[in-house]
Amino acid sequence: MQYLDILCIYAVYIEDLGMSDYSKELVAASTIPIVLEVLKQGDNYGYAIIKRVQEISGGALNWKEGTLYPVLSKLEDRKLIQSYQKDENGRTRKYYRLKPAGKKFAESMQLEWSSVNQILSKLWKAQGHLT
Amino acid sequence: MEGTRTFDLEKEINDYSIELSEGRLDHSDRLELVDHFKEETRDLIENGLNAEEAFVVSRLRFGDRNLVSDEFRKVNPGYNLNQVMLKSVFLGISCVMILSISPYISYLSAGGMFDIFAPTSGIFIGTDLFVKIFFTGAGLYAINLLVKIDHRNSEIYIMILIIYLLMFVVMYFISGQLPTIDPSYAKKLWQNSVWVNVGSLLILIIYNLYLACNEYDSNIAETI
Repeated sequence: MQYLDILCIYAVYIEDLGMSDYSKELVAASTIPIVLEVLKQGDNYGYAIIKRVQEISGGALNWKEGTLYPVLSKLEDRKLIQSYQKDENGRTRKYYRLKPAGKKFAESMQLEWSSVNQILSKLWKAQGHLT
Repeated sequence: MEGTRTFDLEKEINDYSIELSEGRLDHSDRLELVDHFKEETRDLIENGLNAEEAFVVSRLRFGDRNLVSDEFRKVNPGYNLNQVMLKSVFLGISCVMILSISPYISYLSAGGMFDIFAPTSGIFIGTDLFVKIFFTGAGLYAINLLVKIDHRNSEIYIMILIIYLLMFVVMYFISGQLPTIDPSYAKKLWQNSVWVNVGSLLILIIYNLYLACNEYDSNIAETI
């Protein structure tokens, strides 16, 4: 077990070197808008949200999975999302649903992120003309 | 020999989710973690790993245990309140310990007697209210700077308690050999010690409640 642990840590380390395309700060800042957007597409549960994000980012955005659950709990505290129990294949699963306040919040984040995107695009374009 | 040790995936997942939640998550939150590990290990097993390997990989993907626990702690007010109570009790004891040191020395130099209620008060005899408050406050502040309680440094508290008890034992034997002091002075010492102990505990509880309110924000969730 111990040997296996070391091997896996090494594998994850190698993976981190190659796959971590985003800085820690960017991942932290983008987690909430991403979670809200995923929930905008329909109610979902923790593991499926993680899978969905991996799929959309083509594996480039690797969350430390455990950090998603406290974020969900925080969003629920702020009344942006709401959890409920759903029976599925004989087991009870905790689903999350986007509340109207959450939808509004997601929209305001969308504005913020696209405005930052526009600013950077303009700057990159201007730089393109200079070189 | 291969296969002599059986790996019970279900049990491992249950144990690990209990370990992660450290008693601060409610039933549905813990079930959510169990569900996460079950689903992820199932996917990994389908991709060819055995149960044990799948569990190791999913634990690694989940992230550092302390980091995740810290995140849960920050978003769970119920847990925070328990920590505050624990913190206050432990810090209260440490505080009394620190306040005890100088009075012991002043007793001994004055040839004082040993009194179980008096030790924390000697230094405050004859001083005014501001000095008392200053010393109590400074002591509390120092303790809070030195030791931050969370699940990872409870050993430090046990060490402080052991040192306190040792000092107590040593002082008992030394003071037992000294002449007694006048009873009215002993009564004054006793009253002072009650004042200091109750006062310092109250300040600690208020200060830690204030800290707990400010520690609420999570690093990851701080964008809202």
